[in-house]
Amino acid sequence: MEELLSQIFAGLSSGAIYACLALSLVLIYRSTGIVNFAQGELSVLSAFIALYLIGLGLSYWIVFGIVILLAFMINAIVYGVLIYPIKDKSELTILTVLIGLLIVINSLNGLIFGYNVKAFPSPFSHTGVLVSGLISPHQLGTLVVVGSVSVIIYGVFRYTKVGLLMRGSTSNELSAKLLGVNTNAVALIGWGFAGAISAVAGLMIAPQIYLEPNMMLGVLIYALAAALVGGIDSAFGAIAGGFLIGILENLLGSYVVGTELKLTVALVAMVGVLLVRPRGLFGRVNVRKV
Amino acid sequence: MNYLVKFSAACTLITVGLVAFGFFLPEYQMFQLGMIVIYSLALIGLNILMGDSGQVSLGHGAFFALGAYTVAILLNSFDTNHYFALLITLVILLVFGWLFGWPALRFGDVYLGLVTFALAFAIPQMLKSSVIKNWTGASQGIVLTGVTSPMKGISDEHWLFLVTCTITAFLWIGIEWLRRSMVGRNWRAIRDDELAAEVVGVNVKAYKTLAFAIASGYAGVAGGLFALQVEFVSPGSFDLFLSVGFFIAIVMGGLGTRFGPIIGGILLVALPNLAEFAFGESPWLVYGVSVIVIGIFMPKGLGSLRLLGRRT
Repeated sequence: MEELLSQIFAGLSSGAIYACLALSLVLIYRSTGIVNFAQGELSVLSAFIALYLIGLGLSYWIVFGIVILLAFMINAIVYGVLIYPIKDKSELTILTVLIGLLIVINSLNGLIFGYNVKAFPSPFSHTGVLVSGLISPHQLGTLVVVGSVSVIIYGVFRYTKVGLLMRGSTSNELSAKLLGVNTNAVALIGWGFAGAISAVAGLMIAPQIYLEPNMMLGVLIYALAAALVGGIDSAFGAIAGGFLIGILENLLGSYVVGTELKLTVALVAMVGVLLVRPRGLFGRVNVRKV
Repeated sequence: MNYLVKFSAACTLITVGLVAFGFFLPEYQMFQLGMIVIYSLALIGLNILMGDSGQVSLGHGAFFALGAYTVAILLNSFDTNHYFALLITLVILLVFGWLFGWPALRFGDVYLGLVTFALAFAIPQMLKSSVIKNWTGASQGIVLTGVTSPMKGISDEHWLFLVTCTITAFLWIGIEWLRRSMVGRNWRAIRDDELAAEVVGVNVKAYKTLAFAIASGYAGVAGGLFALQVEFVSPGSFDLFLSVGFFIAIVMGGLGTRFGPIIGGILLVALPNLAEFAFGESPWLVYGVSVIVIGIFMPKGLGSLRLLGRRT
């Protein structure tokens, strides 16, 4: 029982990270209708920058703030420079550019910061009391951080003018435009927020799986699975899907299929949910106009 | 003269020329040439899927890997004839592609991209699994014996090169006939406007699945030839970047063009060498930047250049 609980907590904690990255994918999908394959690489870049800044002697939480701001700006710039000019072109063109972007950031990370595996500090390792050994301080801290991020994002969307503009321009871009909303600026901000969230995911996962250029590729698959399971246009779905995938992965990994086939679990969950509910568990059903 | 007859004749001539040329090459250069032909074959299949029927696959390397493993297992555990193993692989992968494609195609483009991406990432892990260890050798992989030449004057390597080129030529001619037939027209109709195609009576789902199956089968044969050429398969040879490489190569080569896959195959082999020669670095940065540039400014790829003939 003890072990089962501890597996569930481990699942919750990695699920929180998948939820985080999935949330940033959903934000981008909601604001521009694009699934950003390259998002995980920004997380890696953020973690590398953070490690560099920590190495300079800055305290962790200052670095945390700086990196999140940086990630916001980088992702907004990526949208403005790379995606905005092609946003009306075919899906294939956009996909091609995103795959190119994934490779460029991935290899730049390797070139600049090196391919050797690095340990990454956790800000929670000295917080003392464990919850009866079931959950490590870092896992608990991850849950708290991701929880606060979700609450902040929810608050921004629900209660601020920017959030209102974003919701408006995604639910009906044309009429938002006609009402004088600058939908491009809104998309830019959406990408920025997504960048900030994915930076959080990177900083939270790095202490658990060590930092190296390909760190996020596996996490990205789980996050994609989470987003698909939850419904790619639903922020709540992304979070629920993230936790679901995290727990499934840990439980099936330790009791049923073995750790070797964890990724297969994500793949099967993805295909299974898509077959039964093509729009995901919480996604909106799109009616196609003929 | 009929285009297809001309194409087939030209293709045969090129193959004969290539094989003859191979005899004068040192072993390593011929190995590389063989890789170009093998990658081109895989890309010919991907071109049907992405170029003609207009679907997206980021997991072509997974089918390539399955083909390589099928041949390796058939040779290693079942002691079959090499050529028979390739034939079986073609059939198995066609069926597998059909079975995977049938449900996956319901998802729509973006989802299909995501699922195939996940498949490409999961395949090496599955191959490492201890459940099928007796067949796949887990992370150690399988060492296999290559083909032996039936003729005295021809070395084993040259014979394999001849076999590779012949199979590729046959499959290339076959696909060109298919592309020029009603099947190809229906694919392109689906690509250009799925709804319109459905309305005029094209069985969209069947044709899309057929494209997926053919892409899978061609990748499988290419993978099988790869296994015979390298004489070794392991999960490490088929990582995510193989699939990403195929995707990039076909986009850069030219989707839906005749020579796109060939250009792509050349790029896949030549670019890493060039990048290492020019920058002393891994080729991925070069791949990444060039695919972004081509994606934005030349959506039809290098194969659409006029000097290579008209686009079909």
